[in-house]
Amino acid sequence: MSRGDPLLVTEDVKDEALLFAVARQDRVAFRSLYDVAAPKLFATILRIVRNRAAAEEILQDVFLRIWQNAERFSPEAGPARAWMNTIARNRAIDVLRQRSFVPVSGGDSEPDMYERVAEDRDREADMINNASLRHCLETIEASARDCVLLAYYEGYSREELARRFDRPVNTIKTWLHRSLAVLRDCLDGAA
Amino acid sequence: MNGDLDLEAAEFVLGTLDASERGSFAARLAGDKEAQAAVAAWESRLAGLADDIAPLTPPDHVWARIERALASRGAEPHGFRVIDGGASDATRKLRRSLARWRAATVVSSALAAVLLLFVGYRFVLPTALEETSYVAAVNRGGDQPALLVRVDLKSHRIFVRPVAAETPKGKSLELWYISDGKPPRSMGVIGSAPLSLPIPSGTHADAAAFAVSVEPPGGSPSGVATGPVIYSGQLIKE
Repeated sequence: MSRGDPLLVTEDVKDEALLFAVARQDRVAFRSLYDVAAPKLFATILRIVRNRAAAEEILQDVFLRIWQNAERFSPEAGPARAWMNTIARNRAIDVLRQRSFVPVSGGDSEPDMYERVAEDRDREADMINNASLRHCLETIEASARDCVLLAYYEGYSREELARRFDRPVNTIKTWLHRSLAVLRDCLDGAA
Repeated sequence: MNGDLDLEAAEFVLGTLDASERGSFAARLAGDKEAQAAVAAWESRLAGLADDIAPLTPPDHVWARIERALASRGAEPHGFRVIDGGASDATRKLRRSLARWRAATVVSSALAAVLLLFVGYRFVLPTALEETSYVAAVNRGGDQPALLVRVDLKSHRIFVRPVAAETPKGKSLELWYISDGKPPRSMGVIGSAPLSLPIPSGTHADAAAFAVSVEPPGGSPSGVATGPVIYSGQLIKE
């Protein structure tokens, strides 16, 4: 849980207050929540669906869902940002798996980024939770780790991963399961 | 913890399940506490990854559209009215299962995606229907209706065409006809084949709705819905 950094704790509390106000159908609070949360959610969705018009449509839908479901948010289950992020990722992946998009550009991804995610341990603003996530990611073999990160950040399906790594789909599934099991054991052990 | 379940939950959260696996798992989540806990744990484990995404300000027209959507439908989501038909026992049961379903949505918003109806989407409905026809796109809030239901008052029959209904393993999907103020009436178990059924007597197509619940194999033994409602839709006059 993201309670390590005072700055982040303040942000969490602010987001929670806004969500509670949204649950009471407070439209001013809804606009404020949109202002603080939409840029991150938009980036998350866009990276997954890789199509701007679709990402805008999904973002709109996600905020309507936040408006309608705000009363179901429970701070005990995790921070407000994580709750909204889950809605956005789930919606983006639901749409991605049901429709076939023509991505605006297939060459948009930055392979370096995955290296960066795994290697950059020096950012002080990062949460404690995140530091152990980084550490645990490093314990996974590079290709298998990249599968997890490509799936998380860019919505890659097993088939797309199979093409990218030139491996059978079953191998990818094995990699994913092995990586996820290592990640789970490492993270749960650290907690 | 069941290892297969945990890895399926992990892949659900990661997003690597294909459309049909994803649909089945979302349906399973509705009533499976172990699966809900597994998903919640994975969401928490992977949440830190989101911090690495650089924000990107969306264009102004997105907010404008959100405001328009809110203004056009008021504060209440339309879909929920479907269930609030009357005060009979069966309706209360159906409502209770909706409450269970709502409780489950706290765990995963994919479930919210399943429950929330008609959020900003319009369906392509069959054209050239006669005036005496009603249709319902029975849906789970996604892009594609799970079932198309057509009520033809001329021939006194209901036509059910499954489009993308997903049946959880070891369960049956049961279709319910909910007419204003009356207990939901079972229309039977639905499979992958189209069905044609007589219209229940004493019902009105106006203000009627259909809901689909997850039931034991062969359908609810008691004649009232016992499992979670996973799809629902309101009849529209054509």
